[in-house]
Amino acid sequence: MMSRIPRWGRPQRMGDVLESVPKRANPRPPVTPADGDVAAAIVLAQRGDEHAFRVLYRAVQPNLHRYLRVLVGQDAEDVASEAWLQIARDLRSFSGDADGFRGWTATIARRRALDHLRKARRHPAVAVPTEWFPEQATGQDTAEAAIEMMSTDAALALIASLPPDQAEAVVLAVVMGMNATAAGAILGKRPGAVRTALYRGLRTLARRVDGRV
Amino acid sequence: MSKHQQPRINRRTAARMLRGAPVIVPDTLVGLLAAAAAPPRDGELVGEQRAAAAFLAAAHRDTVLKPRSPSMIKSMLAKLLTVKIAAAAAAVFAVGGVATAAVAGHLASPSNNPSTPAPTSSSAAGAAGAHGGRPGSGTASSAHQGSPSPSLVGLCHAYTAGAGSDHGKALQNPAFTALITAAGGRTKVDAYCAALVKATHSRSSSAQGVGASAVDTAPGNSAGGHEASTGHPTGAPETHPVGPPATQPTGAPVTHPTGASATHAPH
Repeated sequence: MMSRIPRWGRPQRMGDVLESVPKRANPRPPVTPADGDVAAAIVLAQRGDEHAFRVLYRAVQPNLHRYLRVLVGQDAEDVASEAWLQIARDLRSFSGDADGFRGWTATIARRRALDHLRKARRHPAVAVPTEWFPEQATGQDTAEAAIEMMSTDAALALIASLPPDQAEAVVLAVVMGMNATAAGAILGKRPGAVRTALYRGLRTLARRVDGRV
Repeated sequence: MSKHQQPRINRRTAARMLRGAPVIVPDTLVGLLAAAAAPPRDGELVGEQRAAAAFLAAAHRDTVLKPRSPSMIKSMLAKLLTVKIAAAAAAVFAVGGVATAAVAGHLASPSNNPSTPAPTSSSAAGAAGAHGGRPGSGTASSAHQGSPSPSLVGLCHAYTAGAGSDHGKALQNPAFTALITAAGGRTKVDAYCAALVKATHSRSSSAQGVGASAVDTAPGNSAGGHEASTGHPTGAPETHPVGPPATQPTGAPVTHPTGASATHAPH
């Protein structure tokens, strides 16, 4: 019962892995722009080109959304739109390549997410379904759902059930395809701490999927 | 299946994964991670329109409402100047015989000779803005003393466009110095620009009816306040904004009255 995972790094290569995944949610996914296109789009968008900005959005938003799903659950869409507001506003101040842009946008999204969580804690009257609170989620139920469906949603819900630092490390490494340095920069951690959080998160996930937790 | 058959997940596994190297993990985890990283779905792009709208708004603010440096304003002014200077100069001399006084020597063209009577009146009025019976000509020439270029209109557009957000700060920009001077003070810029822009629009919209529009706008401007008699803003629009097409056919005589009805009577 072992498998080799080709490479979790690049989101673009996930298609290869995915062929082995049953019941894919969407058989005809939108095309994700390649790195070169993203780099070119950054320059154009900084000059005010709307089409280029949309290219950037399509390149970054799906993974950003998944990161936010793990961070804030069902409020991901709201937080994402706040993040894009800031991205649109500050785009001219960004300098870097496609990877740098992913890191920059993830940092912005994370900051918005943490603000959102602080606000939600301060105003508990605003109801957020318990299943989206990572610390309250029951790993067992979501694990069963993940095994049955193995949908992206179920997988993200299961990841979200991990302690926050582990959950973030898993998403940044697996979904965003970041290396230890890039992930550490976003999380404010040393690369070593990212590695630790990641392996602990993966280990817990494996146990939960197997029903051993 | 037994625990011992599972591949161990340790720090090394994580390190390899973060490097993008192949890793060996339990099958069940493969499925889970693959699902988490599955290609994008349409549902994940629902915010595109909103994001694009935010982007357009931000781009608009950057280019129009918040010129970031004086150099941007200067370059805008330079553009305005190069494009309009010829037309505006012609308009100034054709319409306001008044204006010829200021630059009398070099730019007066033969076709505008009929405007010769004007200089005397305007120079008198211009010398002492509130000199009495000729508010119109007085204001016109005073505006020209401040800044003889049509870029005042452009400055006003730049100022009013930015006024919503950075009202106070905008005037601290050195590029607006000319505008402040022309208006006669920071506090008067609003009224000055309102009158100037209004006059520009009403004139350009009635190219042939110079006489009528001039009569219409002049009282309107002075109604906005007593600036007309104090010599500041309202008169300025009378002189420069009019386009050349309007001025040529009607000729100088029509233009003299623009300043004020007072000048009309002696004609």
